[in-house]
Formats: sequence, structure tokens, C-alpha cells
Amino acid sequence: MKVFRPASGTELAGWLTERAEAESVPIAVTGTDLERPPPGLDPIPQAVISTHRLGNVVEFRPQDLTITVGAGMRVSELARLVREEGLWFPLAECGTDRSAGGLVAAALPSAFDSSLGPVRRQVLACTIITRGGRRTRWGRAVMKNVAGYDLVRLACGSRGRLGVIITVTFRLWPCPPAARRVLLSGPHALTALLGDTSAPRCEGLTWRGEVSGDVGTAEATFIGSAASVAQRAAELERWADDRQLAVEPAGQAPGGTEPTPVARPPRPPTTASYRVTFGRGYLQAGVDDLRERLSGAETPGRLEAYLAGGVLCVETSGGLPAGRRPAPAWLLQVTEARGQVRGDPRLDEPAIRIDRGGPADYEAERRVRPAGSRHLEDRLLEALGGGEVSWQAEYL
Amino acid sequence: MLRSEGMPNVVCMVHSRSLPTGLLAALRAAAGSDSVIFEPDRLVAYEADALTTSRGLPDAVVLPIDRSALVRVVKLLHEAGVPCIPRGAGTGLAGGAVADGGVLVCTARMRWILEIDVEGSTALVEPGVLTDEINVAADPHGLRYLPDPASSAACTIGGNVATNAGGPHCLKHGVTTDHVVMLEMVLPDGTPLIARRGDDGGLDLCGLFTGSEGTLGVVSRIRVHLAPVASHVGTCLALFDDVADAGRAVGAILGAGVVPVALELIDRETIAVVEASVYAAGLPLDVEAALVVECEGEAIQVEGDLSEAERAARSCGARDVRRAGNETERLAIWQARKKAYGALGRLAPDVLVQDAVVPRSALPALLPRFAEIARRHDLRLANFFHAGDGNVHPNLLFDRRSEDQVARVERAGDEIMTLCVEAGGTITGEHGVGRDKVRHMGLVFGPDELETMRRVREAIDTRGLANPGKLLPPRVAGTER
Repeated sequence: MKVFRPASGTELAGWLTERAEAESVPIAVTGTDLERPPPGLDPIPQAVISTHRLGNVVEFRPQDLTITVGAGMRVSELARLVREEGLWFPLAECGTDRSAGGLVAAALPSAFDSSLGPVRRQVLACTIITRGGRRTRWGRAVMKNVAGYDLVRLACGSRGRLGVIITVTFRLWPCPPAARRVLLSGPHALTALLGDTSAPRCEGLTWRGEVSGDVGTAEATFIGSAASVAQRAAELERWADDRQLAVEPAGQAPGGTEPTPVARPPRPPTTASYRVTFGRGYLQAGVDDLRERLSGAETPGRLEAYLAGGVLCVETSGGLPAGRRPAPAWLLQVTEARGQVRGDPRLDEPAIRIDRGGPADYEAERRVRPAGSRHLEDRLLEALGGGEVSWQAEYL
Repeated sequence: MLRSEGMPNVVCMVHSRSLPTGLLAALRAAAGSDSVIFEPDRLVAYEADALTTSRGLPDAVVLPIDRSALVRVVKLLHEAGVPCIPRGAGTGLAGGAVADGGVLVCTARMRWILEIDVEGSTALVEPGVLTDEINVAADPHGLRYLPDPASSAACTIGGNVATNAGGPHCLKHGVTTDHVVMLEMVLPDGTPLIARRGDDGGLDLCGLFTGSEGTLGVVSRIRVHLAPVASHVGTCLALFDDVADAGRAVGAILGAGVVPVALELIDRETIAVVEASVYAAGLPLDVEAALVVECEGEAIQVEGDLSEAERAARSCGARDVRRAGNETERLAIWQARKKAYGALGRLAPDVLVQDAVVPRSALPALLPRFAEIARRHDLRLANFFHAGDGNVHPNLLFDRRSEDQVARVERAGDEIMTLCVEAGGTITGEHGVGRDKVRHMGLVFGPDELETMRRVREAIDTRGLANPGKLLPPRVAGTER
């Protein structure tokens, strides 16, 4: 099987139209430049589309703080482009370099979700080519829009089920005059930072830790005027000293640039990745649960938390099933246990989201989703011209 | 014939000319007899929302007291094939909560705040809770609900969800949909559904239902996100002798790297009417426009941002920039801004408020053209709007008793709308389409896009009974896919 790499939306639409009448088979979509599909997919997709060549700038309007790009553009490249105009693309802070289409299709969490809003707020419009080859544009390049249904929100996190995202219009932000990042390490750094209202508020917040042990590192990012950033960062350092947390200043960016991303350790060779959603206040408890469950793993993995949306990313090369296997039952139990803390389990059922999910994990997800919303989704997918389960993300 | 509860000696007729036989009695059994209104003189109270030019009478109004009553009512209407028109407090500005026959289902009596989850920073509320009431409940915990439609003292959170309401403070923090965590819907066939943000691996159904204007069902419970109360807030007023300069200053402030929580423009006409009202805030009467800039955060952050904003405003020709010296002055400015719409009643009995959104860079050129259109049609125009978002509200003043004035207002409104769309904008940013802007949907959406939306609607509202005639123009024969 070859990977189809269209050079234009028209080419992709033609390719899909030709196959529209064929038997419905799983198609995988990726933003990565692949020679062949990666091994280990279950079930094996019958076709793979790479949007890698759709990496152009469609329209850049710095004055209006909007940019429209092809789905294959890397977010690092997008961030660099807008920086040249004194603008900032906060979603570049999403862990690793992604394609614009993959970022949206997987609705990845980012460091600035709490202050500027998650992916779904940053996406103003997108163009999708449906399974049947029909091109459709949703949303407009304006800051607010309530004309008709908000289909753009459906596209965010749709993971290819509505079709292939080929262009995305993002909201941009003015480059903050100054930015500074402070790293705090220690046991329960997460709890300390979230639970104490005397800690100075920061605009960006993430947490990373190994599965083993009880230590983790919280990354707090301040943006704003130079004086404000310097004062708040110093306050946080004092605050951390008082609580015996190790402080490591990092990424002190000069004025007029966005925060410099902190270098990440390379990913382990075989990684299973899951995304679990907790209420913000329950993250530390969620981390503790996961660590307890994973403590016997041969090759400890790492945990990553994006605190704003209460999103905890779990990455591990041991302990969790590798590849695209169903989520283990205990992981569901962990989320269920946390969900019950909310007091109204029927209304706020626990949520688990499996970031690297293929069809097998999709089935696992269906277990925890109410039947009503599943049926409704099926009807919507039909109405919107979606097809068999496919997925548009970076991991392929 | 039934006895009216609470008035045991009065016998009243329970019937309607248009509703199927027995439906009223069934609705009274489902929701309680004091929750159903069918008497013509009482129905008149529901003939319009805040868009008073668009009127119509329902056959009955039902005000369910709780979720189970709501479910029973929606199910009954579905089975009887009767349109169900949801309504909150009726403060909408697009004619979205107005019936033309059918039954108005008003959720204004479902008013419980069910939970303030401090640890999870959310509140679980019923749809009839007023937007401001959420803040009253959250404030003791140091939390707040961020979107603030100008009518927040009167509008309900259910209505906010239905229209995806915005407000002055949405520039930085986002609109209603950005703060809804979970929705419990009653689908048009009466089935309850929990819609989440797609965190469970599903589609973001919450995002689809928010802003769907009652065409996909009625919201029965809402979990909203709460944010910490800001430690410091600072507000300044930049005064301009030219409205286009004020438009340019909007871009300059954002270009300076400052994202205020609110960036609002008020023009001369609006200042004059507000200053003549009880909401007077001491705004100068001799300026063409004023920008209200509000920043929040730590004290040093607020000071830094306001200084940057002041520099940017002066570089665009601001005559003066004044800071609110204390909380009383700050609240007075907001009172003036938020009550401006009501104050327009001093000038004319009716207002046509537009709600287009344009790319910000188009503002300096568009503002003088709005004035020119109003002049050409011999109409008074007042502008106050969310300049930071490019969400304009040109208000055309008129008297609907004059057919000539109504005709001129409609022509001027259409011209303004077309102008905004041609500038790359959209027809509504926060008020919704309702009945009012259905005819403008074709300006921004092609036949294919409209057809996609119709299919979404039909996938959920299979019998076409959920708020019919709103949001989408009817299908033209032969355009089905």
C-alpha cells in the first residue's frame, strides 16, 4: 500500500471522489511525510493520506490577527512565520512539533489553554474534504461568529471522522512584550501550585514527571510587560523556596518574542499515549493513581499534564499496552473513580480520551460514552458526509 | 373544561383553536396547571423578545419547573407534531424566541444552582438561572463566570447557551461556548442527552449545541467553567475627535502586545444619550468617540498594560486618556456602556441593532460609511460595540408606527450588513440569527454550506419541530443533495 500525498485540495478531492463508490474501508490521515504506513496498526488501514505537501500559507492577515495555512504546515514553521510580523501562535506550545491539521484534528492540549483558550478557541475556520470528495468550508476569518451552526468546533478533535482537514484559519495573538518561564521541581509540585491561591498566577502552565517516583516539574510561564513578568517570576521563585521546591529559571525570553520552548527529552522508542481528562482540581489525585498503577512497569514512561483543561497526557513505553490497543480496563477505572468525586456521576461521567486511538481504541472509548451521544454522532457523521473511522493526527 | 388551580371557584375554558384536541390538558398534566398559559390576553406578553419589530403569538406557553417536566413537555409536543420554541428571559435581539403558532417552552422558572464545584472550578446550573446569579453564587469562593452579555442582570444562562452570547469582556476570555463544559439537552423528540466537549473521544457536541438557537433541542442543565476572580482591574477611557482614529487605535493597542479583557467603542450620539440618562458617568459630550480599555491581572501587570494602551491610543490621536480612579468610577463607566441600549429609548421608541463582525483592520474605513448610510436614509445612528473583536453594533433609531421609517431602517440595515460582509465579515457575532437574520444567511453561506447545516438540523430534529423558521433559510426546491 502506498501513501497518497496530494499536492492540492483538488487532487485530494479527485482521489476521494474516485474511491467514493468503492467499498467503505478505513482510511488513515496523517500530517507526517511517510513512505509507507507504520507497522502495528490494527485494523490495517486500506489507504493512508498524508497532508504533508499541503503546507502553504493560504492567507496571512497580520493586522487582523489571522492566518490560514495548509494542514501539512508544521506548527514550528507557523510560529516562526507569524513571529516575523510581531505575532504569536501559542498553540506551538503543545509538546512536540505537529502539523496544523493534526493539531486541530486531535485537539491537542497546549500550555496556554488556561489563559488564551484551547485549540477550539484558536481555530476560526477550516476547509474539509469529505469522504465522498466534497469540499466544504466551515467558519470565517473573524473573531466572533454565531451565524449558523458552529461546525468548526465539531472539526476540532474529530480525528478525521468528518473528512480530511486541508486548511485551517487560526486566531493569532500579539507577541507579548516580555515572557519568562520558571521550572519548579519536587514532590507534589502540582498540588502546591494549583492548591495555593497565594502563588502568583501565570499565563502558561504544564507539568511533567516520570511515572516512577513522586517528583515532577511544573513549568510556569509569565507573559506581559517586562516589569510585570520580572516581578511575578521573582515572586513565584520566592514562593517555591518557602515550600522547598527546587527552582530552575529557564527560557528567559527577551522582550518582543514569545516564550522560548523548553527542550523536551526524546520520546521512548515504543510509546503508548493516552489522554485522560480530569477536573482541574483532581489532577494530582489522577497522577497519583496512575503512578500507583504503573509502578510495576519494566520501562517507566512519563506523564504530562496540561493543567488548564484538566488534561493529563500519559506517555509510557511500559505498563500500558503499546501501539493502538484498547485502553486497559484499569485506566477506565481510574477515570471512573475520579469522576465520582464530582458528586453527580450521572451528569459528569468520567471522560477518557485516547490520543493515539485507532479503530480498536475507538471501541474502548465507546464503552465510556453514553449510548445517546454515540447514536447522535453516527447520525451527524452521516449528515456531514463523514465515513468509516479514520484518524488525522500526527502519530502515524 | 378544567378548574383553574388556585382559583377554585372560577371555571375556565382550556382550549386552543390551533393545538390538537387534548394537548393543552396533557401539557397541564405534564407541567402543572399553573405552568401553562393559553389565555390570549396573557399570551401577548410573549409576542416578542427584545427585537420588538418581530412579533408573533404562540398557541400556548409552558413554563416547566424542573427537568422531568421539561422532558415530558417536549416529548408531548413531538408526539403531537406541534412546534416547540424554547425561550429564556426573552432578552434576545434576533427574534429567536418568538413563536408563530406552536408552544413556547420557557425555561425561566428552572432556576436552581445545583452545584458550585470549587475544586473543579465549575458550576452546574439550570437554564433559568440569570447570568449574574452565577457570579453571586461563585463570588464567595473567589470564582466568577467570565462571559458578560450587557443584559446579564436579566438574561438567563440557558438563553446565553442558545445564542452563544458574548459581551464586552469576551475579547480576552472568549464567549459562552468557551466556558461551557457540559450540556444536558432535551432533544426535539424528548430524549435527554449529555453533550460534552469531545474530551471523551467523541465529537464536541457541546460546541454544536451552543449557539444552535433551540433548533436542536432545549437545554436542561449546564456545567460552566468558573475562573478565579481577578486580583486587580484597571480601566481607562481614551477620547477621540475622529471616530476613524478610535478605530485605528484598536489595532494599535493590540499591536502593542496588550490584550485587554475589554476594548469597547462608544460614539458621540451614544455618549449624549447616556449622559442625559440616570446612567451618566461624566463622559465628555464634545468628543466623537471614546474607547473603554479594561485590563486585569496582578497590579503591576494592569499598570503596565494600561500604560502601553495609553501610549498606543495617544499615537493614534487620542485627545485625552483618563483612568478610572477608583471602583466607583470604573463601575460608572461600565454602567454607561451596558445600559446604553436601554438609554436609546430616550431618542426613539425602537432600535434596530446590527451585530456584524468585521476584520478589525476594516473598522476605520467602515465606521464613517455606517454614518453615511444612516444620513442617506435620514436616520439617527448610535454606535457602541466590541471594537477589539471587530463586533459592530450600529443602532438605527426609528418609530415602528411609521411605515416609511420601518422601510428606511430595513434598507439601511441591509446596506450595512452587505457592507460588512463585503469587508470579509459575518452577519452576527453574538446575538444569533433568529428570525431576523435568516434572510441574510445567503450573504455569508453558499448553497452547499446551508445544505450541510440543514442536514445537521434534520439529523437531530427529524420532524422539523424545533424552533422552526429560525437560524436557516428554508430549502429551495431542487437544492437537496
